[in-house]
Amino acid sequence: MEFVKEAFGEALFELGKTNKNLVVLDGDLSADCGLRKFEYAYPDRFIENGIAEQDMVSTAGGMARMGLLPVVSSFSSFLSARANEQIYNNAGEKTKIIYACHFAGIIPAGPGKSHQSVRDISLFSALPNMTILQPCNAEETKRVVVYCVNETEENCMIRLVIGPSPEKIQLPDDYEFKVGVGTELTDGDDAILIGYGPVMLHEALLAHRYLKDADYGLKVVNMPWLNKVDKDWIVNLTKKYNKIFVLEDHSIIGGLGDRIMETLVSARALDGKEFTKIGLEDYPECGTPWEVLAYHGLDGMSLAKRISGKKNLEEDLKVKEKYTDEAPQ
Amino acid sequence: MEFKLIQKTEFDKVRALDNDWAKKMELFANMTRYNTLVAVKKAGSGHLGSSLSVTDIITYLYLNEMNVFEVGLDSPDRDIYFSSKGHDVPGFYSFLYAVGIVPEEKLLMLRRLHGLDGHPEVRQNGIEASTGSLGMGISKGRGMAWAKTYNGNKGHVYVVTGDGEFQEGQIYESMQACAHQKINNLTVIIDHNKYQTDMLVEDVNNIEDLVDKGRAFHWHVERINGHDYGVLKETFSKLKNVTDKPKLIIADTIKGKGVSFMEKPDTETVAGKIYYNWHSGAPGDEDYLKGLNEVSKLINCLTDELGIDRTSIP
Repeated sequence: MEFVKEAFGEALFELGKTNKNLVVLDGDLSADCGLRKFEYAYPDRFIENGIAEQDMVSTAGGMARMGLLPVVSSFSSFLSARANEQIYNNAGEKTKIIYACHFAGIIPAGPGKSHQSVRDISLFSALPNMTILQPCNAEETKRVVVYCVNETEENCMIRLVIGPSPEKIQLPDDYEFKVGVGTELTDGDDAILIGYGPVMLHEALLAHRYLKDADYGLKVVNMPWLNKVDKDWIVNLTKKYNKIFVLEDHSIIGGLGDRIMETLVSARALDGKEFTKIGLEDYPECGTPWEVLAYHGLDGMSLAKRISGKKNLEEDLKVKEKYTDEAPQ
Repeated sequence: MEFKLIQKTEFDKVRALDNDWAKKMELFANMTRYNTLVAVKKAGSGHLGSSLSVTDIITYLYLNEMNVFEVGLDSPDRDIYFSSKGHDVPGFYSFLYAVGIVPEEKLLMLRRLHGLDGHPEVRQNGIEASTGSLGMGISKGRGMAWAKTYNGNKGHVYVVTGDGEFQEGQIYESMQACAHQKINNLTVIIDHNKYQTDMLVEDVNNIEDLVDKGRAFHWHVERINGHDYGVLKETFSKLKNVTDKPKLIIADTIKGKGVSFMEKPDTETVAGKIYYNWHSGAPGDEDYLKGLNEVSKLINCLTDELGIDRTSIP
């Protein structure tokens, strides 16, 4: 079973071996956020701040001003929202800080809407020097962490699903990690669905499978860059499709869909096409993953029906077993 | 109206004096107060009240405690000062001009494009933290102080806060964490000038007892007169012996210090509450000239007492 948060913690631990400037700030969620390995290996640069996100974020700001590279880690609902003004203040100082926003999205749904983070992309995306990324599997998570630590000068916000990935999203052999460019996961000629993260891509791939059985081709694309969209890439990618869908693990307002839409509109590449954002349109409900995904129309079957307009599709009930109870509840 | 500053060369003369130290500090501070008035008047807005109340604290720290002139603003071993409230920055810019860090043309470009920001921004040399949104400063200071210790760098971190700022919740998060982590290279100075934007802090949302609160959070606490250089010197000397905890100085100050009608403002009393009129905004022409005149008198008085040539006041 794969946890992207464990890959995140592993990547930080590896980079921490040589980069002594890398410090981690935690808000009493070290185990839940996959930080134990870093915490035990480098206790002198693991800072436990307790449950005080605003203080933690501003403290990271002071550290960054002194030349350190702080990674601030907590659940996204608390970090991105409660400390948003502090994040804005830090970003304005043009230092570099990495915000690790765990428990991103609506799954697990047991804890309810205080913990489900569905507006964090919108809360970060108006900052000019901020890169927002959400990896789809362990491999991409490690690549994302290396990029954030070593390759970009911008601040970074990494969205991470907290629970086990319902499936390990398979990236192609020619996978390339390039700013603003996503990865095509399947073929399909009738519609295109762009999503991110292990939960929604799992549902998207299910929709692809259901539709394939019904002779409907849905191309599924992984797009980890949530606020940077390469214009040429997206225009070429979507050129042949009249039906374009973006699947959000987030509110449909202020997420990836808006970035893609504005890119396509400004390139005059949406004329005459159907463009739909699928995501949260209400407060996220509480329940099991299956109940809640279906309630919001975000499970593979609902997606397949909505995208294709087909009504009688055959459901594979075994996929329900993909979600386990191992996520923090 | 012409806007002319007391020139940096005049400040250099005062810094070079070696007679009565406290009077010399007062003179230097009042000269920066003069320039603060000019800069804010020219800008058309800015926060005079707390710029004037914090001036003696800034003057004392930079000219007596801090090492920035010896080691330079780029040294990782430098002492760090910043104001968490931030809106008192016209007074700080005026000080930075007096010591040659902010050029004359920039001080006269307060709140103008490519001039000096209305609240502190680190893009200006000498500004250590971008502030202005209240409550973040002690946390930021903790990060800086922690980093200094972790990196093995010298230097102490001094953070000035407002008093109304102690209504912000983040202040208490940060006080708790600083004490818990035994941050010992951080001193917080509350510029306790008693008024917040509209009126007395005690009428808005009383923050007292600050001494009790500071001690309850396990900080070393001193409460002093923030305009008395002798007391400032004595207090900061004493604090050098406190090496196991963060330090809090509650500096009782006078908002608008140096200009009589800003110190004891013509107040509007509504329903028993006293409103303060000089928190922000530039004075009108008449008040401006009256204010400059009063500060000039203070300056002349001090040069006479010191037995030196009078400062060249524009």
